[in-house]
Parts: sequence; C-alpha cells; structure tokens
Amino acid sequence: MRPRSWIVSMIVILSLGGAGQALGQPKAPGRAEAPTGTLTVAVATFGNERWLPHLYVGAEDVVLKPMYENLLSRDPKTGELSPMLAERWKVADGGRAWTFYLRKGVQFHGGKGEFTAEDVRFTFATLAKEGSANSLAPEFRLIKSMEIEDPYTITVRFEKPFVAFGNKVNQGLFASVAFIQSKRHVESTKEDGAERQPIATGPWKFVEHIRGDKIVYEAVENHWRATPNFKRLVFLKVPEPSTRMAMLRAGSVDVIEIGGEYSDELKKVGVRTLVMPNVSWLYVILGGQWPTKATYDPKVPWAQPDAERARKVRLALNLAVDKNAVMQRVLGGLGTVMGSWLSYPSDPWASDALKKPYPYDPAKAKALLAEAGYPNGFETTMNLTAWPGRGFLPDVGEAVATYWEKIGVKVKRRPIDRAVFASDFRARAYSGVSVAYASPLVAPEPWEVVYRAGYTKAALCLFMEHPKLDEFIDRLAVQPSFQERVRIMRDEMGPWLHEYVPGVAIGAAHAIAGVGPKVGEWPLIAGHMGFHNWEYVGHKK
Amino acid sequence: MWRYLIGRALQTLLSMLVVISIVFFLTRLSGNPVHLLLDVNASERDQQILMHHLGLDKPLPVQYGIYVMNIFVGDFGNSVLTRRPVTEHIWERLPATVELGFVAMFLSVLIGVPLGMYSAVHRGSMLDSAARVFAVLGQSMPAFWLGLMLILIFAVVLGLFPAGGRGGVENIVLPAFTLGYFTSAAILRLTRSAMLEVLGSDYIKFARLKGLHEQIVLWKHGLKNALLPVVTFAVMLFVQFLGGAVVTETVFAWPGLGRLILESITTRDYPIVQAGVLVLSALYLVGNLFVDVLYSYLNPRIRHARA
Amino acid sequence: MPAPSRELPWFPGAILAALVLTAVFAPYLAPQSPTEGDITQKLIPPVWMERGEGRHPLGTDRFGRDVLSRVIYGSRISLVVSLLAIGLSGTFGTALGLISGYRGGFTDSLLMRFTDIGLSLPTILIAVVLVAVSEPSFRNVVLVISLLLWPRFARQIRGETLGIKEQDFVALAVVAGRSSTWIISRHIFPNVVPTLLVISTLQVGYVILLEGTLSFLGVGVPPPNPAWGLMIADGRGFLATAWWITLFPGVAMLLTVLAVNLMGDWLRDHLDPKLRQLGSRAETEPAAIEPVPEARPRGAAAGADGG
Repeated sequence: MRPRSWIVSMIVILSLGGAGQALGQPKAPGRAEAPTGTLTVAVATFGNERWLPHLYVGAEDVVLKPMYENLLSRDPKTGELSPMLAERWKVADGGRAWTFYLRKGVQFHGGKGEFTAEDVRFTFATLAKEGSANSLAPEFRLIKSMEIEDPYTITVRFEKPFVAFGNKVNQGLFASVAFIQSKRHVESTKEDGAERQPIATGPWKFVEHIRGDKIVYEAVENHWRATPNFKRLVFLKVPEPSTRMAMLRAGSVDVIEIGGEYSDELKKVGVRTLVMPNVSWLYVILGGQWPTKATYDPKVPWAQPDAERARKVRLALNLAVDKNAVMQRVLGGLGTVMGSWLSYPSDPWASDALKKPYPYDPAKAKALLAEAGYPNGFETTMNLTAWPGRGFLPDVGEAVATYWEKIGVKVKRRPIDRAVFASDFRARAYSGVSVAYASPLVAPEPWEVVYRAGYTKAALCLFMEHPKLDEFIDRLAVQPSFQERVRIMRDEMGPWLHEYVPGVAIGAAHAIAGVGPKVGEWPLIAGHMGFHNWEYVGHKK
Repeated sequence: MWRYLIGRALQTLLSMLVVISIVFFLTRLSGNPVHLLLDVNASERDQQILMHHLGLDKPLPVQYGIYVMNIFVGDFGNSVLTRRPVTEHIWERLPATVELGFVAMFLSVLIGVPLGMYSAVHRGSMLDSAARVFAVLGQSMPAFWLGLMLILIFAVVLGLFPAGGRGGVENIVLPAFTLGYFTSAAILRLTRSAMLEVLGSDYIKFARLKGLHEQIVLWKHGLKNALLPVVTFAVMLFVQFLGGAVVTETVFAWPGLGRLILESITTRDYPIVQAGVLVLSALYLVGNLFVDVLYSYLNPRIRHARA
Repeated sequence: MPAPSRELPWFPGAILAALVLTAVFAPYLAPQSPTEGDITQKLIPPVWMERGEGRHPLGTDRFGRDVLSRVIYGSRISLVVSLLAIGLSGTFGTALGLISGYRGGFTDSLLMRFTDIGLSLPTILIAVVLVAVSEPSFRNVVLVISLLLWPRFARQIRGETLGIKEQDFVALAVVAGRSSTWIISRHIFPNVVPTLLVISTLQVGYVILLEGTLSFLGVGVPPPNPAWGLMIADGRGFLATAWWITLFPGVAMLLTVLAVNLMGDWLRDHLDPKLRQLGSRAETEPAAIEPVPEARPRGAAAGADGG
C-alpha cells in the first residue's frame, strides 16, 4: 500500500478567531499525569446505537470510535496507513493474501483477556455473516479463508486480488467499521449481554449507555497506545442544532457537532471552531442514469437514450449553477470548489484540469437546453433530504433549485425524510429526481467509492451506471501498483467522468465542530469526517 | 351505575383496539425500517433475512393478528432497532416524562389559578385584561421559539439554568416553564369562568350576607367550589404532557417519551411507535373515563340521561 | 366594577383587519417576489442597519429572498391554512356533534367513542406520521390539521346540543311532527352558532402555531413557500448573525395569534350563553362536563406544546 500523498499536504487547524494554532504530536504513552476532568460532547445522532459489528451500519461511528480499535490506523500527520492492533502487515499473491502480525499484550477492558488472532477472525466473520447490516459486509464476504498461524498472526485470503483491503480494516475514515470485538466476551454474554456491556481494547472503556440520551466512557489508565488526558468522555444526543450551540455557549458541553452553515453564527458569538478540511464530496445526484434497470425512464431529460442530448442537459444543469456562490454563501466558504468527481484538491489523481469547476454560464446553459430540445425548460423534482451530520444538504438543494429556475427549469421542492428516500434509493425509484448529496470519504481512492455507487455488477444502490465505468473499476480493483492506479484515475477515469458530467459537481466540503474553553490541542486525521482521536485531546492551558 | 361503569370500560377497551389498528396500519404505510437498518449496498438476501427476523415478511393481516394477540398477553414486541422489548424502552423514558409533566402542570396551575382568580374578581378592570394578555401571550408563540428564547436569555446570557439535558432540579425549570406557560392561559380561563359562576351563585351571596370577610369568601368558599373543574383539567393536562411535549423535549434535549416516539417515527421503529401511541391514548382514554364517571356520579341529571 | 365593553375590542380587531387586508392585497404590497432569491444577496440586514438596502426594507433571508415580501405573503398562508382547516374540521365535527347530541343513545355512544379516539391520539406525533406517509405539501398540511381538529368541534357541539335539546321549543317541534333534519337545522344549529364561532376563533391561533410546529419538525408547508412557521424554524439557528429572518415573521405570528385569542376570549364573554346567564343554570349545566369551550383537556392541551 502506498500512502495517499494528498493527505501529507493537509493541515488540520484549530482556529481561534481566525488565528491558526499549530498542533503538536500525539503524546507518547505512559505519561506521568493521570487523566482528569470530563469532556462533554453534544452530537446530533447516535445512529442506531448498536455495538456489534453485524448490527451497526456506520452512523454510530462517532460515538463508538473512542472505545474500539482497528487493526490499522492512519497517521494524523501524513495520512499513511499505520499500525494499530497489527504491528505490521504483508500483502502477497498480488493482493490475494493479507497477513497481519498482531501486537502482543493488548488487553480487553474489564480483565477479559488478551487480544489475539481469534478475535480478529471472529470480528471479520461476524461482520460478514448473512443478514449483516454492516456497510462493509459485501467487502468482507469476499474473504475466502482466514488462517491463524499462531495467536498473533493471521492471514486473510481472497479469491481475486483485493488490493485495497488495508483501507477496510483501518481507523481513520467515516464508517471505519471493522472494530475488533472480543470473541470470548460476545460468546459468553451472548449478543444482548455484549450490547449492554460492550468491551474493546481502546483507550476509553464503556461505563453507561442511556439510549437516545447519553453514552459515558472512562479513560483506561496506562493504555498501550494513548492514555487520555480527560478522565471521562460523555456524549449527549441533542438533535436540535440551536440547542447544541446554546449548550456550548452556556458551558453545558465542551464540544458540539455542527454544520458548516453555522460557522458565521459561531464566529459572531465568539465560539472557537475546529475545521476538518475537505471531508465530504458535495454534488447533486441526477437520478435515473441506469438504463439496464427496471426503473429506467427514457423520458428523463438527463438520462434519455440519446446520449448526446442527455449530456447537454446535464452540462446545462451544471453551467446554470454558480458553484463558488454556493460554496461561499451556503457553506460559509467552508469547502473547495472542484470540477471532477470524488477527487479532493490535493489528491495525486486530481489534475489541474479536473480541479477547475465548470464555469457559471447561465446563457450557455439556456442555449444547451434549447439544443437538447428543451427551449422552455422542463419540470423536475428536487428532494430536500438531510443526512445525519450533513444538515446543510437541503440548503444546497434549495440554492441549486433556485439557479435552475433561472434557466427555465421548473423545480418542485420535496422535503422528504431520509427513511422514505432510503427506500427510493435502494429501489432506484427516483428517476428524474435530483438530490444534493455529500459522500463522506468512505474509501480513500475514488474508484472504491464508485465501486459502491456506480458499478453495475456489484452495487445495489446506483447513482449511475455505464459500461465504461465498469471497465475502469474492473481494471483498478486488481491493479496492485498504487502508481498505476493513480495514473488510471488521473489520466483515464477522471477525464472520462469530467467529460461525461454525471451530476452537478460542487466540490469538497469541510466539516466543523464548535469547541469550548476546556479543549486544548486536538490532532485530527486528515480526510476523516466526524469526531475522532478523543484520547489525544488535550486540556487547554 | 355499575352497568354504566362496565359498559364504559368495555367501550374504552374497544377504543384502544381501534387506536392500535389505526397506528399499526399508519406506521406500515410510512416506509420500511429495513432500509435504514441496512447499508444501502446490502444484498437483497440480507434484506430478506432481516425482514424475516423482524417478522415483516408475513402478510400484513397476519402481522396485525400476531401483534394484537401478543398485546393481550402483555407482549408489545421488540424494537426493530435494538431488538429489545419495547416495554423496556418505554419504562426507561417514563421517569423523565413524568417528572417534566408534573412540574409543568404545577407551574401551569401556579400561573393560571391566581391570575384567573384575580381576573374574575376584578372582572373588566385593566388588570383583568393585563392578566389575560400575559397568559394568552404564552399561547401565542410556537413552543420551540419560546424554548429557544428562554435558553438564550436564561442559560446563555444570564447563566442561571443549564441549556439542555436532564440532571438536577435546575435542568427542569426552563422546559417545564415552556410547557406550563403555554397551557396556563387555559387554566386561567377555566378558573376565571368557574369563579365567575361560583361568585354569582346564591351560596356565595349568602356567605357575603353573613358578613364573612371578602378574602375568606373568595379563597375558602369561592375557590374551593371552583376548583373541581380546575383539578380535573390539571389531571388531564398532566396526561397530555406525557406525550404532548415532543417539541419541548427536542429543544431542551430532554429524554422523554415524546421524543422517543418522534425519533422512532423517523427510524420507522414500528413497535415503539405503536406501543408509545397506545400508552398515550390509553392514558387519555382512562383519564377521560375517570372524569366522566366522576361527573356522572356528582351530577345526578347526567347520570339519568346516560343510564 | 365596569362590565366588559360590548363593542369589538379595537386592538385585536385592528390587527385582524390588517391581516386580512395584507393577505388580500399581498401582490400590491410586497416589494419583491416572496419565493425567488439570489444567494449572492443573502442575509442583507434591514434597511436602517449598516449594509441595509432600500430594496429589502426588512432584509433578506439565507437564500436572498426578501423578508418583508415573505412576511406579507405569509399572511395568506396562515389565513388560508386556518380557514381551510377550520372550515373542513368545523363542518365535519359540527355535523357529527349535532347528530350525536340530538340522536342520543347508541348513535351518540358510538360517535362519541369515535371522537374520544380522535382526541386521544397524540396530535403532533400523529401529524408527523401522517406527513411521513404522504410527504409534505400545502394540501397535506391542511388535511392533517383538519384531521386533528374535528373531534374538538364534535365534542363541544354535542355538549351544546344536549342542552338545547331539552328546551321546550324543541319538544314542541317534535310534537308538531317535524323531522329530525328540520329540527336540527332550524332549531338546534342556529343555537350552537355562537359556540361554534368561539371555538373556531380560538382554534385559529392553534392552527397557526401548529403549522409552525410542523415546520420545526420538518413536516410543514414545504419550502420555498413563505409560511411564517417555516421562516421562524428556518432562521432559529442564526439569531446572532441574522435575527431579522426570524424576528419579523415571529412578530407577525405573535400578533396574529394574540389577536385571535383575545378575540376568542371576547367572543366567549359575549356570545357564550353559559356566561351570559351567570349562575342561573349552574346546576343543570352541561358546562359541568364541558366547562368552557377550551376546558376539555384536549382542547387546550393538545396544544400541550401545540405551538
């Protein structure tokens, strides 16, 4: 595995009234001072509040991460894959065999014994079992066998090369969900018991969980990796964003999850914000580009069988939108406008041509619509759906709809809750409907995302499909050389997507958090959406 | 009397059955929880396994039959999300809800009754109008707005109370006031009209003729007799607060029953929504039955009309 | 003690008149389109502040839409939603109440249990489920609110009907061989009109608040419609940077609801027969069961946090 060099150039800043503050290295384990004080965090959602790997989906990520550990991690500074529970790893047989050498002496909480290869095998098998809700289940089902050579060595084998498997077992991305469980604990307490009293190997141990209200952790002293600076870590579920802001201002909590749309508001009232740059990819999905599926509707202007006309419509919908204005005005400038799909500004495969956004040119857009046969525009629906942690999406949808109306497209706004849309999403029942969406960085390389969202043979949930795209994925998925993958993405897949215009590209969005006076330095992993690295959060001096 | 009682009790049971049916079919129409429980990329087979596990693969009438049968043996099913018994979740939230409802009712009475008394005694005066405007003001803004304003003023600016969450006594003041202020106008109206009615009665005229001190007439004889409708109303109000405080619970991050149901609607956790709504409806229906019986006992005319 | 004035109160009267005029003449009064915006023109403060612009006297919202125009057009939505919802639920509820009260017996029992069920459902939660089933639209908001309101009318009107039915002129009409329909429409209905008017007025405020609450929960009138509730809900997180996007619709809503509530109070004082004949009917009064139009718990408390 090669590191993603883009991460190297990223710096995460904790800005105080605009003035940046440099961050230190995570402290070495075994420090003298004992953890003190309580860090209270208000988040919008706890997800489904499940703890076992086949029961959680991924939205639990933020509240589970303090307790659990993965085989690998990412270096906060460089973003390279780095050791966590595995001290080192080896890839053989062109990506068909992954051997992990585990750290010795790591203990599960509550004296439940030492972590071994059995726990790894148990975790991966549970995650992949039938009926699993885990978002990585399809990937883990590709495992052909797992061989335990000794308690600290395990080899995972695949039928076909799985060159990106390291990205699935690491911590450091949204929904990094292969958290290591204790086989003995889960088997002895059964599912229900393990969910009521979960244990793991991380620097925080479980104390209390009041569903829909509160999760309490306590620091593990003398942890093998990092002993937290705070004694307690408390998560509160506060769905209303204005209440979260008020709680932070009133000193009831120390950290809040909040959307970029509130950054000016926080600045105005003097709250410090923590910026996590370029963590999700913002675009407007144009539903219906799946000609081989039953729900395909040839009358949808942007997905009609006449590829040339359909492309003109998609391009027109792009040119009609002032991406800079959306980024500045809707997201408070917290993002980077981009022209390519699923690439971040400093990705090695994001060439200059791909970074340049489509220009804002409503006149040209109108002309293109006329050329495509819609001189008077057409009618369409814009779903306004908020995803947890991405509350700004309906705002983006509204802004884009307003721009489209200026070139004559009639847009019906449809505020729709996520549950209802999720069904449409799965059934691909949203032909002719557009929706603003922000993909969290679930995989470091864009083809891994496309594999989930645009691969005809694998994905159930398709934003689009195209034989050409399948071809790229087939090649990339078995290409062991990182250099070569970068080349294919930069010189072939990127330009093709750019030319094809699958949706309205807006760019990479930052995420922010509001932090109170207690919070000191906080090193974050670049590209990681949502809170993490709680054990490294320092006291404010 | 007994026949009437038993008849009403049976009718109430029947009403609950209708409520169950309404909620059962309404929630099923609102979407499938499986789509939220699984990742968007989960296979068709995973979906079927989960549907089977949750019993959602059976035909709707069968699901309905099973559900109703189970209720009769006290089984409200398991949460789709946690797969734990629904009753466990409802019990978990009930203390917070009862606490908030009780304090809110108390505040509401504390504001409404004295103002209503005052308003009745000084009927038509400036202060009558002022008292009523004060109470009506509480009914003139959305609860979420009043709540946020209270948070900004009393938590953020003055720092007197916490901004949200459940904890000590100080945590309950703002949400209880938000709820209680809204309903205090109704208590005021009720106290006022009941007082006016009592004050116009021969009984009070007689007390005055006896030369009793006006304050004693008002508080002892007047209020005592005006109190019955106010007390029954307050009891029903309390029942209402248990489920009707969704917005207040959301704004103040209060872990109550209303929010549990609201959040279960968004996750399509049918069993919790069904049981939650049933509990709230049942509380209302039983409270209502109680009030009706009480009145028909106290008022012979009605008793005859109904019997 | 002066008796309350028989003349229409000027304050609520003036506000309601202004509201109706604003709604009718909205296109002439509004300086800009209420729905079209330009995000490069967003969050311009009111004209008297620094950076304010004459084109937007009350500033612009987060999407660059003119706040004044939205507040003006918003009066239409509030008015139309209230009129339609109350018209629908009032008609249905009144018809049911009249039949139930007049017929008595089994019909009455059946219809009243039906009404109890309607009243017992937790209003806001059911509204959220209903909108989740149907998706938010102007029409659905009206339908949902109507569905929640009708039992209030049914209960009140039935109570009134019970009282009127006992009167001599009804007995005479029965003896004269008049049909039930004739008696209900000629004798009973005209006598419940005052009560109907009072309840309807008091419900207007509730409907307006409910619309706001639904918007807060994300199931109200869909954007970009200029509904006041939606505007307040939309701007609630931006009070420090852009207070004007919530303050002005908030004031409009507050004044309107305050005015209709005061008007309702005044109407009750003057139209409600119970209060007109203070004391004289106290012991026979169905008021003991239906103390005052709003005293029936659900009447006020559904509002528990109705707004």
